[in-house]
Amino acid sequence: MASAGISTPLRRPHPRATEELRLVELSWRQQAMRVALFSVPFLAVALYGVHLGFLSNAHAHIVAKSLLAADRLRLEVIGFLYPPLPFLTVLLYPRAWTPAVLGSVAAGATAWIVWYDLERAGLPRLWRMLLLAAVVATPSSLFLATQAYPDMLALHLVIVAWHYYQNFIRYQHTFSGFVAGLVLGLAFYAHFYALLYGLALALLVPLYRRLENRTVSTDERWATVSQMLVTAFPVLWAATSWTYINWVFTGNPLTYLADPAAAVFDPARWQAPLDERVAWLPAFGRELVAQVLLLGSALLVAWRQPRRLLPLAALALFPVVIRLAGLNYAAPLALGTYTLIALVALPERLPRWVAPILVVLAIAQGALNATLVAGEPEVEQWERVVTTGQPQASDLTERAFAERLAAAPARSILTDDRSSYRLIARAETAHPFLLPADAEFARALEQPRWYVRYILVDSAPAGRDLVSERFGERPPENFVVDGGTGRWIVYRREDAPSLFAEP
Amino acid sequence: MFVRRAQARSEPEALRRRTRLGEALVDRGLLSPEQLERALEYQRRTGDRLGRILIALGYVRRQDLYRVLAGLWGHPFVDLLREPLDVQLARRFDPEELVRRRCFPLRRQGSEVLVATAEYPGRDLVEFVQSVLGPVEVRPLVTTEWDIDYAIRTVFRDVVLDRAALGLYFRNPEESARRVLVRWQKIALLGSLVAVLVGMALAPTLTGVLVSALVNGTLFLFVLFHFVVAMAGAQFEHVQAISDDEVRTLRDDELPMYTVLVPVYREANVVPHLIENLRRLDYPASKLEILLLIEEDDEETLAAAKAARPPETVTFIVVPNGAPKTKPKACNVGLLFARGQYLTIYDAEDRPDPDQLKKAVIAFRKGPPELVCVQAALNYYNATENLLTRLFTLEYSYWFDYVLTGLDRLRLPIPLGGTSNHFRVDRLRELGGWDPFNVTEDADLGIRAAAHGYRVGIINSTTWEEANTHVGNWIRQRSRWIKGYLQTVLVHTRHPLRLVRTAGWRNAFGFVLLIGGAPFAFLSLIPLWSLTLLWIVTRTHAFDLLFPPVVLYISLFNLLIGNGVMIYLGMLAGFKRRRYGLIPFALLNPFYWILHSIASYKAVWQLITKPFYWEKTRHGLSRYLDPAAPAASASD
Repeated sequence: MASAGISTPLRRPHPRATEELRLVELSWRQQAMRVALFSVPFLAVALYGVHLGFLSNAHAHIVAKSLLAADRLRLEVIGFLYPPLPFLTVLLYPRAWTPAVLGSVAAGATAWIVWYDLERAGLPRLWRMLLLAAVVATPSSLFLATQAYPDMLALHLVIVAWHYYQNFIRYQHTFSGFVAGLVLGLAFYAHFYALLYGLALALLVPLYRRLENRTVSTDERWATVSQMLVTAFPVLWAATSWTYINWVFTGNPLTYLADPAAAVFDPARWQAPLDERVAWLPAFGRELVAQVLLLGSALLVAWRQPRRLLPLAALALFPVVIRLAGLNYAAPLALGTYTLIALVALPERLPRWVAPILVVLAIAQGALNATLVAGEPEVEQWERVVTTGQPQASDLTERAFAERLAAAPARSILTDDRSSYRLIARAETAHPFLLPADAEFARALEQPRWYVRYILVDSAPAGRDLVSERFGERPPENFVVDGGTGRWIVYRREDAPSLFAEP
Repeated sequence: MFVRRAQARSEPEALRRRTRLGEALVDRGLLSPEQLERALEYQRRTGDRLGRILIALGYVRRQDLYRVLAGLWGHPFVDLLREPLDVQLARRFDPEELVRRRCFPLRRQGSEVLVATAEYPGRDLVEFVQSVLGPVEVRPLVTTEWDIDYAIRTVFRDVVLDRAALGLYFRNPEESARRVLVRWQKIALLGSLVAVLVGMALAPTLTGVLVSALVNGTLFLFVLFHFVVAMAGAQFEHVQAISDDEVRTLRDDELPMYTVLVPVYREANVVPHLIENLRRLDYPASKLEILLLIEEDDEETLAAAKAARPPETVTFIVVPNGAPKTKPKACNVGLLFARGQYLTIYDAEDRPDPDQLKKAVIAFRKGPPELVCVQAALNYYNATENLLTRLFTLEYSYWFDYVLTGLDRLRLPIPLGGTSNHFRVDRLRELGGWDPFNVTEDADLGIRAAAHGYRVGIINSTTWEEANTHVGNWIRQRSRWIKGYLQTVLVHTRHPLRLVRTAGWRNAFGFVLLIGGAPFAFLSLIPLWSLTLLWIVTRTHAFDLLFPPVVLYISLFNLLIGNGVMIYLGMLAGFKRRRYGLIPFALLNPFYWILHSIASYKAVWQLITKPFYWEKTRHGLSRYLDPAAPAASASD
């Protein structure tokens, strides 16, 4: 005897766990198999990038922090790194390639959900494959999947939440509302924008409920408010919790928004005057016009489900609104968002002749997006590396330098990981480094010769770097220059062996 | 089909007797031919005995019917209320056997033994009496089953009281809460207390950290457990265990006799509502036995019940006065006199869904043989009465719609709710009935059933109750529940290894977290929140030592994620019930938990000072009980 149904005061016809809930019904093994299958192309690209020595800044930052926590066996040494979820997942096996692999799996899982949506849209299998390939095989998509793990993870979680949200709104399936809210709450720990997406979805509830032809009664109004609350509560709670933690431990509730990995605020745009912001609009307009697949999808929605056009437009404009507000929203993430919105918004049971048109639009959008991300230095570098198969000289040098540092004894290198995180990530160990999170760091900064054998400084630090600020100009007493590469210099205590001596 | 044929073959004999009874009643002017026709039609539908049908339909008074039966059976009628009873003779018999056989040995008369019976006096009656008294001559007299019950209650008053109060204890003292703590529990509790005190004196930091880790770790597990169970419950919300079609296709002649126990105490004001609510049950009246259990010293309620002129299917059972004066004791008395195949309990103010009994019957038929009980959901009809009722309703919705369904899905032990639990009577008797010393006898019984290898299921039906409207009354009720939970944990962990062996690891772990976790969580709430508040206000570092990193993470998780999840569950429970107006109130749950915490301290104090004291909840306070008030469930 097993039962879960409880009679309710007002019984409405509910769908059984049928077609619209198929995603829910799959066992975790079935889900895992599909995710693994769809992850293969992303994994191939990710591992190829790793093989060629490419490491994005975002990944390096996460890996460095994970290595530190793993080495010290204390989570709190990372401070209040935001977003914590990518960090916690990388912590399971902190290596330079781990975020690339996890990002690929997140991308594979997203692709599987999109495949499921395309199947529901009624597109033939061959055209589905071509369409998916067309949107995946673009520089911006592959960079997002393999080199921007926090963005990819957040996007995946938002897409998962979106599907459950739809079930919640359409069928009042409470479990779906439960999951949608929780996933959005979780997504906040992957990316700040989950909060904004959560709020946006909550604000769209009245629109969606009107689309379902619900009567405007007192009961209906309460139902709408309730669904808004249920959608927004977990993500708001997550944001409040994280803000509280920041306030408790740092005194500043919004510290995390300035974290390098989160980079929510764009320092230049945040303080821009209104007229300057208006001047950005044409560029955003061009970006939107380049999303021909999204426009095609909008046309199909206008044709088949015209009342859904408004929510679609609201969601599609979201990346623009965020950037207009002065927040940072990376170009690959913005383009990935447009693409995913275009695909999941496709109406169900489309005629077959639509499929080739969508494929053509996807290819066109991919090509146009390639030109849009061409100005992004990191994307450009990555693209060059993976398309030519030639590693960057700077990556090879950095890796070789990091390998030398890795050989140093425990806590023997004084450095500030706000600058040297790439080297720590490349070294794949935080063992040799004495970092600001360590209790001895402050004392070592005052009297390095009593605490460390080496000092690693950045001759041109980009941000606050206590070690480089202090010793950037010259080595402290009893230390000499041991070697260096690029902007990095290593000082050696006079009695310590050189890190760069050939064995 | 074959069954029907078999029934058809036996029909002429049965029909002949029924016809004779009906004709006899008509001949004596006690029944009109139209009424007889309607009763026979009813009989064809239900397959029940004509006499019961006539009484249930209110066509014939019970005593008149038995007088006529006495004539038909060829024996004199006897009114046991006016006859002297031979106590010594009667006490040679087992009262349970007398109840079952519906007979009572009245007295000796010469070489004869006069035996009153409410059944046709056949050879088996003679054999039964002779099996106890030896070769005596048995002279049957006819009486009503009410008279039989009355005589048994009168003669066996002390036996009934003993069995109801101490039956479980005598059968298996290890399962009774009569002893609050067994020896090793006393030693363990005292030892822990001493260890903490000594630790605080010798190594205060280490002791503080260990206590902090224990409290926070347990809370973490508690939250995690609730989350998993609620997720499991929510996932299948649209799966209806028993469909309306199944209920519709159920034939009346397939339905068994059903006993409904209604324990009442000082509730004269709700008796008329009770009678009205029970009238709404969709179950053949002739197969329904409603036992109104009234305490001996509660003359007010008895008078009100009589004045309400209930239908003949309602029987008053006066519960002998004696300690402990608890609801489970009254239920045990009711169980002794119950004649149904299944049994359920309703509180006086309950409004069960009309088809609930039928759903329970279907559930038992569909369920495995080890299914001993099914629990219907409870919810409140006066949810919108005030803030307390709103929060209480959200909590109940969460508990019955999510937690119990989740436990059912995960096949974990289900603690029964206060009412609307439906039992197989034979299994209930086998389990020893309710523990009168446990003040949440229902939760205890659910766990005991699991420990005996039985299962408890749930059905998709709701009983609408009255939510407490006053904080003081609420705290009284809640402190009793928490005290009962503590009693239940103490009873079932007396032999931890045996519990694990009989119930399994999962069940034992689930039981401890669910039943033990709730009082623990509420007891720790006020100290932990006070620490947090103190820290926020003063920013003192005095507590830093108590929270080393791992403990701090867990503590933060409990504070931030755990509380958020629990509030969220409350919201969704409201959503599922379509009580949209309640959902925003889930945000106030933390204040409601403070009331829980206060109640749990009271519960612990009472467990020490008055372990078996039954904190009576006052019912009938809701303004929705006023007939002029709008239907509450509809108004929500």
